[in-house]
Amino acid sequence: MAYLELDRITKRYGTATAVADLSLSVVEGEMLCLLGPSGCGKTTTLRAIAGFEHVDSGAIRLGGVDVTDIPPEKRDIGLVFQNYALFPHLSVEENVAFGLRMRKRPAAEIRATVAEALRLVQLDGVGGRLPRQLSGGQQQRVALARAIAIRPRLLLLDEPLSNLDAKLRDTMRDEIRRVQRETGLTAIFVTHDQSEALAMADRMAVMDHGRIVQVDTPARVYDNPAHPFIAGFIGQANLIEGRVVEASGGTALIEAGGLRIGGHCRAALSVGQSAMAVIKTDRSRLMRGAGVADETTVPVRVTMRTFLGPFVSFTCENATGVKLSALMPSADAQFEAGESVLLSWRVEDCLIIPGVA
Amino acid sequence: MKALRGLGIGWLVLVLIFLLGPTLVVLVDSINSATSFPSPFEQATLRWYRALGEHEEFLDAAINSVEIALASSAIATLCAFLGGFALSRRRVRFGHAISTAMLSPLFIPEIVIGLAILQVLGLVALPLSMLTLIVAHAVFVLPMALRLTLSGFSRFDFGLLDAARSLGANPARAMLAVTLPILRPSLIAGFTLSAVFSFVNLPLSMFLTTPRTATLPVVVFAYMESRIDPMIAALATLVVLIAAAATIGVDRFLRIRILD
Ligand SMILES: Nc1ncnc2c1ncn2[C@@H]1O[C@H](COP(=O)(O)OP(=O)(O)O)[C@@H](O)[C@H]1O
Ligand SMILES: [Mg+2]
Repeated sequence: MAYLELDRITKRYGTATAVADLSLSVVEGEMLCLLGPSGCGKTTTLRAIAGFEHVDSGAIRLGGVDVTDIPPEKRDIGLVFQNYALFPHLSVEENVAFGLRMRKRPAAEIRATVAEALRLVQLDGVGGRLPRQLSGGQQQRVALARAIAIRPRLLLLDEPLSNLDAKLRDTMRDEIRRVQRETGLTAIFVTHDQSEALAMADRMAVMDHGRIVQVDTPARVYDNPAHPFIAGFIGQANLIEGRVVEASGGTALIEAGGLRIGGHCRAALSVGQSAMAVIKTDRSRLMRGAGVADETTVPVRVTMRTFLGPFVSFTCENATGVKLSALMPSADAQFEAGESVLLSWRVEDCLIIPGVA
Repeated sequence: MKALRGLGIGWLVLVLIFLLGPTLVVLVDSINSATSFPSPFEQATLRWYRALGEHEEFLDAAINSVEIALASSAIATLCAFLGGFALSRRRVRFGHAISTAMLSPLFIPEIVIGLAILQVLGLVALPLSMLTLIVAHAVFVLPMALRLTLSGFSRFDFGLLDAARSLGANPARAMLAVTLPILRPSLIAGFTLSAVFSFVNLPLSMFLTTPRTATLPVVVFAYMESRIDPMIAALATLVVLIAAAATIGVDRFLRIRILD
């Protein structure tokens, strides 16, 4: 039985639909990442769960109870905002105590809970300061402490790392994950950053245009994108659009721009339908000379070589103008821009998925 | 460069003289022992200030003025707070028109407002009273309070109210625990400026006071119609000092910006 259940919720702004008939179940104690490009409706979904947006249709159930019409202050849902939204006139301690004050808890209990929350986010010692006297990372920790201090039934985080610099982002990412594990809270983490979602999620829900297009573990979403949108959005992959010419059992062959590409498939495909071959760039490689058995090989010309430290990224183009990339370990990457080479991948590394209509 | 700077400083001094000069002249007049007014400086004295004490009508009028200033500013500040909140929270239909209407007393001559209010009161057969005077002053000073409140709200993050509500505060408590304290400096500044504007207002009060509710500027004006003497200079100096003390005091000691 799902702990949080979004049952076909829809939210419109005027004629624009921000969330379209969206259903999602969250299991107690898990961290679910809601991943999608900017503007796809993530914040709107989160605000509907928190009670700030009234959905036009559908229902939201939390712990088996319909909360669709319950105001935000009665939902017991902790929120961490993108800009932290700390109360500027209150000290760190008073910020964290705010929710407990509203609940009229006894002073001693408030003091103990605040101290514990601050310790959990490793912020003991700055309780007396004002938010503006803290660094961005510290403010983020206060926001987290404030949300968990009320022992919420659900923790919602809306792109909490997007205002931090890259290094701090990785630290805070691990911190948030640790705090969520230690408290056992059920959490929804919203992000438009796929690496963040892949690293943090127990399960991830990929969103596009107000809908959820795939929900699964990060590894399975990464390896088996169910939709061309996800294939393009998660990981770096060569995407080749074409038409199915053969399909049988778990394999298919498509024709695209003069190329014939074989691979495995999970969905049923029929001959003639549009489809897409998905090959991760790190499973693609360049080589000279002849092709290898069990590999698909495409003659290409290297158009760009980008050194990335441990890896080199090659951008290539074949005679009919299909663009393909390969990401190779620097040690094996002795190819130059302008060179004519073969780009190849193992047939089992190619996934064929249904195209967009 | 240097010459340009010198020119700039010279200009600043001229402006200051122009702004503060007349007030300084009145201050000097108020401690001049010469009995005719105005006249060259003879000797410093406080006798005009002592003479003020014998005119009870000035004290009564001053008390009226203070009461009216405090009450009308309280009303104006409350309206400015609620109005500013509603106008700033999200795009309101006709929001711009509404705020312009609320700011309009700023650019309608006070005499016109006074006359208009007098006529309306006549139409609805309401007699002039302390209450009508206070309400009229509240309308007149609303723009001062509203402008400061709107500028306060322009820096206010309404997301804080969502944060407060997610933590268990209902809308009213969120307002009291978050909006009010954060807007406090703007409200105090707006209140102070409103009170000063009400306290020194003459044109509006002329139309709307009765002998019982006469304000200080009205009484002074009536007195000056029969004669002008240094006692008025002493009174004017006191009024200026009180108004300046209120404004500067709030600005400096409460560190609430009114003066820039
Ligand atoms: N208050 C609003 N009024 C009108 N349109 C809105 C409002 N909030 C969001 N939208 C629209 O709804 C869509 C989804 O927005 P949002 O949920 O903020 O996306 P995300 O958080 O994924 O970037 C966007 O197209 C946005 O322009
Ligand atoms: Mg968003």
